[in-house]
Amino acid sequence: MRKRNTLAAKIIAWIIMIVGACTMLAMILGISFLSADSFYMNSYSDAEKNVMANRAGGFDDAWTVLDAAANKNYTAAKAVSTGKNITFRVTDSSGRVLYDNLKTTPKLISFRYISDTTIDGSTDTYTVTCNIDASFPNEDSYAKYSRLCSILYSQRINLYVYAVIAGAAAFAAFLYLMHSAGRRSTDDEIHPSPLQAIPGDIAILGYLACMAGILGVFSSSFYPARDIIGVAMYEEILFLIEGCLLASCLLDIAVRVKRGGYWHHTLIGWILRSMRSVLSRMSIVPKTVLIVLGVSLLEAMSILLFGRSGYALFWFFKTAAVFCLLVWAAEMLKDLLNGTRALAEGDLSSQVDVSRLKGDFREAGENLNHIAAGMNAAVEERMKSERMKTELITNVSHDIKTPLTSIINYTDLIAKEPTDNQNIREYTEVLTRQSTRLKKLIEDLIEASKASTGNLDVSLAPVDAGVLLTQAAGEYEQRMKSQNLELIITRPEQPVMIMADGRWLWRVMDNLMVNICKYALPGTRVYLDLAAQDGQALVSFKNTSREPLNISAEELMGRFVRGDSSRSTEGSGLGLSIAESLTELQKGTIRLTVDGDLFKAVLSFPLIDDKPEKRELIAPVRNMEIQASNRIWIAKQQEMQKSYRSYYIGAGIIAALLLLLVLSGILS
Amino acid sequence: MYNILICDDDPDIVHALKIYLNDPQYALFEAGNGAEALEALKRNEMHMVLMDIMMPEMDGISAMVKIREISNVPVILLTAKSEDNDKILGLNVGADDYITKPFNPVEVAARVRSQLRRYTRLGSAEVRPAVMALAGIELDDQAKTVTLDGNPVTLTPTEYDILKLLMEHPGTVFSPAEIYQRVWKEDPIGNESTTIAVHIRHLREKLEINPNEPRCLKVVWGRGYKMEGGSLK
Repeated sequence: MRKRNTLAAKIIAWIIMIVGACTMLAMILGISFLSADSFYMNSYSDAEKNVMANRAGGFDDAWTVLDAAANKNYTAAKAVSTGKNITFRVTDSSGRVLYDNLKTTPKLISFRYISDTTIDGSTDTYTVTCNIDASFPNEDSYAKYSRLCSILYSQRINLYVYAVIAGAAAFAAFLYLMHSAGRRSTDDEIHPSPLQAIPGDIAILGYLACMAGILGVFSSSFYPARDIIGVAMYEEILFLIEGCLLASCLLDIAVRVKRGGYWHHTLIGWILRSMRSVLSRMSIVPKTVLIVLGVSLLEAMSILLFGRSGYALFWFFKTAAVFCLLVWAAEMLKDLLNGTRALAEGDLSSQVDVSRLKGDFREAGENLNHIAAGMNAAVEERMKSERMKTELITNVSHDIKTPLTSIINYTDLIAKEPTDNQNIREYTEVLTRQSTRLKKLIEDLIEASKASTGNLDVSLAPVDAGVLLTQAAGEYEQRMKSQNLELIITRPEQPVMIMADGRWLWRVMDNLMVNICKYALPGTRVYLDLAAQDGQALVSFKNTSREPLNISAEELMGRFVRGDSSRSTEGSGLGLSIAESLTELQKGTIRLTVDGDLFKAVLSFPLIDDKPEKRELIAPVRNMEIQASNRIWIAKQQEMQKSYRSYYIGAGIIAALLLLLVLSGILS
Repeated sequence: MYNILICDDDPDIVHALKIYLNDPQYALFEAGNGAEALEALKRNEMHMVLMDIMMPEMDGISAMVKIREISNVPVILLTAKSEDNDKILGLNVGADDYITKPFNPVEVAARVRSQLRRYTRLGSAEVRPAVMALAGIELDDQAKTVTLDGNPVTLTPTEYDILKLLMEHPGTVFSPAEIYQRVWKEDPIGNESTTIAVHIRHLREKLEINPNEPRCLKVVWGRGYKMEGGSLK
């Protein structure tokens, strides 16, 4: 491959190209001359007649003869025929012969020259009949053209073939030159010439200027006379120079393209690049001002320089560009808006596709993605820390439970040892009571931490709140009785269906009932009410407190807060806190009211339209439970993210303002 | 004479359990971890294994899997892990029962007795059509008697009827209204739910070792009640 790129090969290609192109042009010129002389339309004699009259000087001679005859200068008229093969007869419109030396030999090329000429003050149409002796006894221009004519006529079709062959050869040579331009036989690299240090567009301009200059100079002042050969030669040379310049220009472009970065090495590219680098370093407001000023300046210049029509053209391009830019900006704005909307809705995993964005839009998109990533990390971090907290509490509790087992067991063993020492009895009793409390406390702690972090498997399913309430009451009836408490239950006859997890709702009620047993004044009534109101199932627990409740409802809900300040009785103080967390996990609410000695806890859950079905209920519920547990998990996640919502909204507003600014810049 | 293997890495707990299970009928063996328990099982024929889960070298769950490869001995897992998942995992790998620490010694003794009786009497239970048996509870409808692990239990006629209904359809959840309909043979009037809840509570106290954590007579909160005998069979 390399060997083809030698200098010799290139020179040969140049020669082939020049010769081929010149030949082609000569052929084309010839064809055009021949067709002008009717070589392709009429018979040979007509063509020959045309050549004799127009090219060989027939009409010129006829005019000279007519002019001489009109002036009665017969010597001059006769001189025209001297040494030539042509003879004339001049007649006027009435057929009167003014001059005649016409020879009528057997082989004749005959044509007429007709002209209006004023002789002796009267204008008349004269006819000059010209006869050329086709045996050509004299060597003159007619003889020369006659020979040429016969050759050209026989070759008139071949000229096309020659033109095509020469053109093809020139074109092939040109292609080769384009291919080998910049390449050398020594390596595969592209070697730009020193000329190519000039910016590409300047070089093209230079070539074009040279070509235009040469064409202008030569076509205006040096155009030669009517000699066909001279014209042909002249045009050939002009074509040759222009063609070489054009080929050099194209080869120059070829080398630049092959080198790569064509636009990079042009003046336009450089201007655009520097404008871009200047603009990109500017902040958005000066940038917008500069762009608007620049466009306005161009507009003003186009009006001043080109007037109305120039401005119309500029207006058209400007409108088209603004239209495209606006649609493009709107498209990018849409992407960003979708991104901000997703963020505002708390979808932290959504990412703006910045590959479609440009400039400031891209920056805004990237910032948005960073915000999302940051938020995501923060939420993950928080979830992780919550999980770790629960895990820590659970693990620590496990570790505490093992020694506690021994404490409880050996306390129990001590209590069973026979002893008369009353103190030991008493102390053992304290140990038993307190170790049991510790056990309860640990269990509640685990449950509270799990409930508050949502680390529980909650399966929501239709549950009859009425049945659950009576089941809970049944569990506690014995204990209530022993505390001398009267339990009064009111509930609607029809089922009250809610979505809940029976196990956890039972735990809520269990905790509330335990509290009632612990803190209710013996001998009073305890009211359990169930009512369906405004789409909510309300379960209320009311009792009269034994101790004055000098503590607010909010405080009661806190962890480790207990109704009695002594802390001597059993319980961890976590009961209500657990109840609250568990209720919220099941999408319900718990409300405590303290009114004097009246303590009231109200659970409320949204009602569902589900009728309690019989056997069929059990199987479908399983699926529902799985779905419900998924929903709970998702709900929990959203719950966590809700607290970040204000940040998202803030970020969204800032992003939107930023976008508006960019858009307003582009709009103006 | 029953051979009972106690496996726990805490010697104090092993010692306490030995005191509680001090019975002329029981021969007690000790192991400090799962590997030792397996060794002990290979050396002696065991009738009962009490095993902790969190132990060094080989934990209780791995040991449980290995034990089930070689033996059908009843295993009670005794552990501080109280999560539902842990219990389910333990029972799934083949444990017969599950007690969380800190445990009630009386409950441990009762469960050991219950498991031993069932294990040693396995396959010898005579099947009479009028007798229903579920998880150690036997109900003889002809003699109108109920026994728990062989010990007679005294029930009121209503409790008996409820138990019979539930035992006839193990695993089926009965709502209070349905129980009322089928036991009292009357249409429910609306306040029967509490009555039934109290009866069920009493039944649990009589039939369950730990009434607050029932193993077979279960409350389905917000729906009703059912008998289950699955995991203990």
